[in-house]
Amino acid sequence: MTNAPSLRHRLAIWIGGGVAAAWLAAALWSLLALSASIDRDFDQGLKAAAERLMPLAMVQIFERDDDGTAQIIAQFDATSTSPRLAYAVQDGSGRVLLASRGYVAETLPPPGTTGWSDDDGLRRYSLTALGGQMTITVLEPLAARRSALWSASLRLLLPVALVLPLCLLLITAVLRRELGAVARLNDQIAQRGRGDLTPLENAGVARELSGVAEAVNALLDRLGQALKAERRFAANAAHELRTPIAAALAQAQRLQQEAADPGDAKRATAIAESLARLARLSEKLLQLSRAEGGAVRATENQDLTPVVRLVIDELSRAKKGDRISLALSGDSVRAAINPDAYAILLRNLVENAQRHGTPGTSITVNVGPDGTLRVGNDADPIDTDTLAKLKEPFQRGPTDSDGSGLGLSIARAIALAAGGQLTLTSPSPGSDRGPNRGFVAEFHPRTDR
Amino acid sequence: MRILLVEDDTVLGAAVRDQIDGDGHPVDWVQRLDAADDYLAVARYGLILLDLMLPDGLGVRFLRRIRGAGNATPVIILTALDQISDRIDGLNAGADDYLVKPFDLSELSARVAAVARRYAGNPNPVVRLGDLSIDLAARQVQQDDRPVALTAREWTLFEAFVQQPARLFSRADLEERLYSFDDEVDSNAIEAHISRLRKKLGKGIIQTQRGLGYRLGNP
Repeated sequence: MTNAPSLRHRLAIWIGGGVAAAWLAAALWSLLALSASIDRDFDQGLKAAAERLMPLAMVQIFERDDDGTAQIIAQFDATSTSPRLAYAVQDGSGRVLLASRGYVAETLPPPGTTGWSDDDGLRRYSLTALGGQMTITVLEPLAARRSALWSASLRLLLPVALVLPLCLLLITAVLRRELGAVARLNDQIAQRGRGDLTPLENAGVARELSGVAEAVNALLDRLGQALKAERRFAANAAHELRTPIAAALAQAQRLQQEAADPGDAKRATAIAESLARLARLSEKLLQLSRAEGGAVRATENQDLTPVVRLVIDELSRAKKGDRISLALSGDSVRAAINPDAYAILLRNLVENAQRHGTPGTSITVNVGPDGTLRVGNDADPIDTDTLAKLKEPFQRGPTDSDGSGLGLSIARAIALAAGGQLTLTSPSPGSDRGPNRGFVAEFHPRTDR
Repeated sequence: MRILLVEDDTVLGAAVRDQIDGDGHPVDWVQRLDAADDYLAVARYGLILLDLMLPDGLGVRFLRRIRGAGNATPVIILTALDQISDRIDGLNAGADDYLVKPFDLSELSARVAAVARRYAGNPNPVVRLGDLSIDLAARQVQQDDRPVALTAREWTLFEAFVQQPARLFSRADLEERLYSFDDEVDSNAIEAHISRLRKKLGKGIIQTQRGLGYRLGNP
């Protein structure tokens, strides 16, 4: 997902690129128009020069003594080395009668030519008078126009070149600001964990995004209802299963007490034991369904202290031979975990220790203020492969006990759903139970929130 | 100690009633909360065994209501709800203890006996009286270290005197402790039980206050 292109980058590239391209196209169009306009202005100048020079040149030619040479008229500004305009007046035979300094005879068109002609980088305009006996040609180098166009282009494009990067920066900044709302919405959605189904905050969100937020909220609502229905179902299923088992077990125990015949009493005992096993298994299956059902994480920190005390109290009463030493560090245990799920987790870890620990030894339960659990018991060491398998459903260690094989997998499912982790260690490190002995199950809740 | 059992499951209810009755406590068994209200209004109970999910409502609400009305009768919840929060709710509503279904009947008997002791303000399970040693938890009486066998009814009657040594019990008081509404009570049943107790434990163990009732004496 992180490899997918960012919406902000794509928008910046498309909008920035589009603006730049449009700007360049507009500039190009302006330059073309400018070029045509410069050509027209220069041509007009050339033509006007020819029309004004012709009568003056004729007066000059008629009033002088013709010595058969071309009269060269100096420029007004003698220092100019590259005259822009040059002109020449020819008679009918092509002889140059009068010319400006800097004209080149070879560049003149044949005498009698009128109108526009281009040649060798020069723009020329010719006029005839006296029935073609006199021709004036005004010339101008095309380079002058190019230089004018170039300087005009620079003046047009330079601001664009300066403003365009600013414009792109502005687009990026605006996109960053406006798309921040998307990122915030994204964060809000990402924060909704398995237990957190509170609606997204919708205030001040743009219209386009409020639709998304509303859709997500509708989804969260439906999910919440589904979870509630699932919880209700689990509670009802527990009730509906437990009551008839309890009734059958109680009747079997009455039969045990009342049976006069030892054979009947034995059979009643077998029924009672079998029912007790059924009760344990159904309880474990319900716990597993709750653990995987998604109601494990709580939105807020919960006080788990009474839960810990009640579970330990129940388990101490249930198996009187074991001594459970409970150590609560800190005044209270608080974590964002559903108390019922936490109780199931703790119960399974302690039951596992009761079932598989060395009989007659004590079980230590340490509970940290953040909900961290550490349940240790004495046991023969367990190898790493077996430890890894223990967390899978219906896997048992080297034991002949009548456990369901579900306890640790239930504990692991709850630990994972709570965003924490369950670790099993054997032999227990730093144990006072003797070297190379013991088993420790630890739960660490997630601490990032 | 007379006990009110509120349990809608007939098979479980029958087994629980037989067990408690066998322990010598008379049991009134109802299957609905409105019936429980009716029974509470007319009889005094030493203990209520309360199921949490009944056809006409939740046991916890019933418990809150009677506690709110000032009824301090000890209550043990019998719950099929498996969540710890349900148990915490029950205890917060004023329950003294709870048992999670399915439970051992022997565990039930032990809890009932423990509540009976607590209720009588006598949590110490062994009471000495002359040459008698009375273990209220184990429900055993020893005379000069020899066990004396009592029937369940005799025990219940004797326990009432031991737990309140100074109290004068009327015959109606004792009948209420010994019999449920369903029991057929013989008019001289109490006298018969007391005479058997005197035979087993000593003539002076229970004194008769003529026209008033009975109280604990010296063996």
